[in-house]
Amino acid sequence: MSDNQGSAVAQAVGTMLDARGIKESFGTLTVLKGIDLAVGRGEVVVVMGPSGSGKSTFLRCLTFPEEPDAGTVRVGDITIKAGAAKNQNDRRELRRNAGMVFQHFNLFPHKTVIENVMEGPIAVRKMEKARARALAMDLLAKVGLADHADYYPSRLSGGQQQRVAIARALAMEPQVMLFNEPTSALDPELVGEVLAVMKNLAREGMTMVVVTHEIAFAQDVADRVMFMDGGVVVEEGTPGQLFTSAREERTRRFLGLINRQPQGTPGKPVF
Amino acid sequence: MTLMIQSLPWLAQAAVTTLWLTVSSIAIGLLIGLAAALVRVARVRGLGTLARAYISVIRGTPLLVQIYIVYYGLPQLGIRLGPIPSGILALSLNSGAYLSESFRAALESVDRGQMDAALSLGMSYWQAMSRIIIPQSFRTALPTIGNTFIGLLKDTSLISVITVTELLRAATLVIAATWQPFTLYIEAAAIYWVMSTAFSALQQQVERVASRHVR
Ligand SMILES: Nc1ncnc2c1ncn2[C@@H]1O[C@H](COP(=O)(O)OP(=O)(O)O)[C@@H](O)[C@H]1O
Ligand SMILES: [Mg+2]
Repeated sequence: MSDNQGSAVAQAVGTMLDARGIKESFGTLTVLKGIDLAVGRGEVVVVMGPSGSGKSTFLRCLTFPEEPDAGTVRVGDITIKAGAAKNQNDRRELRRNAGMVFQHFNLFPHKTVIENVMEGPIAVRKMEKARARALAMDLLAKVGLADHADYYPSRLSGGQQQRVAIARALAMEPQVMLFNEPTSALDPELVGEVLAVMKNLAREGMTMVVVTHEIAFAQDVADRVMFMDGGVVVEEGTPGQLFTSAREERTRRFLGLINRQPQGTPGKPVF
Repeated sequence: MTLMIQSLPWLAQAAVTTLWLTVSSIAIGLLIGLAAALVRVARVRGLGTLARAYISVIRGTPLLVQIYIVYYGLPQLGIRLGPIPSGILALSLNSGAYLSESFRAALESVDRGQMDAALSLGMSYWQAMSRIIIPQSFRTALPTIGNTFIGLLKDTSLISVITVTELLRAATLVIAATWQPFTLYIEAAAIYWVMSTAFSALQQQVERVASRHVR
């Protein structure tokens, strides 16, 4: 798959996520200047770019906690045009279709691990408690945390918390998973366990958009790498193309910088 | 000393009245306070401004004046409430205003990522509020709720002025018959102190349980 060009995969097997012309600004600061991204079923797209280039904003615009100034997003069979009549039900439906994993996990601290995973199925899918519990146990087993089901998140390591967060998102049975720097808040020794879970997901055919600076992960599982800077897509291609023979100077400079960091620690939080 | 013992059953009964007046008022006050905080945090148009005005008026005027307005003022507008309902109304409105300020601070102190995560699962804004944000803010607000309860327990003595026979008025009635103010006021004070102290102890237990998931 990895020698497919651009969105060729998307065209061949059907697009799961299609974002067109996403623009967003905060006051006078223009953060996104028109981003397009089409992701085919089962495709994994890694998004890279310097801090402040708009990666997080772009992911937020895909699920509308941030309403973009302009653009259209389709996930599965839900299409939303920015600024169009604010039908909150459509936005909720779209969010159900797109699982989100955050840099800082954002687990619900007042709920146990299994309650975190059951929350979406119960509150949103209106699933019975017993069924939700069974589903959550399966997902916790899948991320290797079945034996931590009754712990509160505060007792877990960062890596474990992030795996719970992945299970929580999967419990909605999303059509696309979006990851926003899922390992950049983790201690280096905990990065591997989270990436391993993500790799498994990719192998199972999950459609994924992953903002990360983990070059090895991108090389291993990405079908496509998109490099963003200054609110535009500077360049995109297969990991092979981008990492060995990037066309743009900006891309090469950035890759040079992150390659110089020890693996496992790129994009360490700055606080 | 014999007077103290003789009057104890009567004062204890009045203390029970004080207690349930406090509990009723804080229960209604919590609802008012949460509602007032929510419309402000969620920026519900119109209601947010109304809530701000309410809080400002209550916090800027003495409780005693509020009690007089409810009990003596409202009947002029055709709203006639008995002493006890008037007392509860005034105390709930009063505590609601103070509680809403601490609820608002507590709601706003919940990490923004919590709302992000709740919405990303497909919850509505109000689902996210009620299932994720409000429960977490309760823990933050718990100390203030407890302090408000203790404050309210003592403030119920003010509604003795509108003929509600709570603890203070019960003591006053005995004094009128026996002319032993020192003994009886000390006895009333002791009962207030026991109730406040017992509640403080309970509050600490509750706070410990509520924060069991925090490292
Ligand atoms: N809610 C916001 N209000 C104002 N500025 C914001 C907001 N969110 C992000 N920004 C700004 O947008 C730019 C892009 O941020 P972000 O999308 O977080 O970049 P990245 O994730 O690539 O580091 C930054 O300059 C950031 O300060
Ligand atoms: Mg970011």
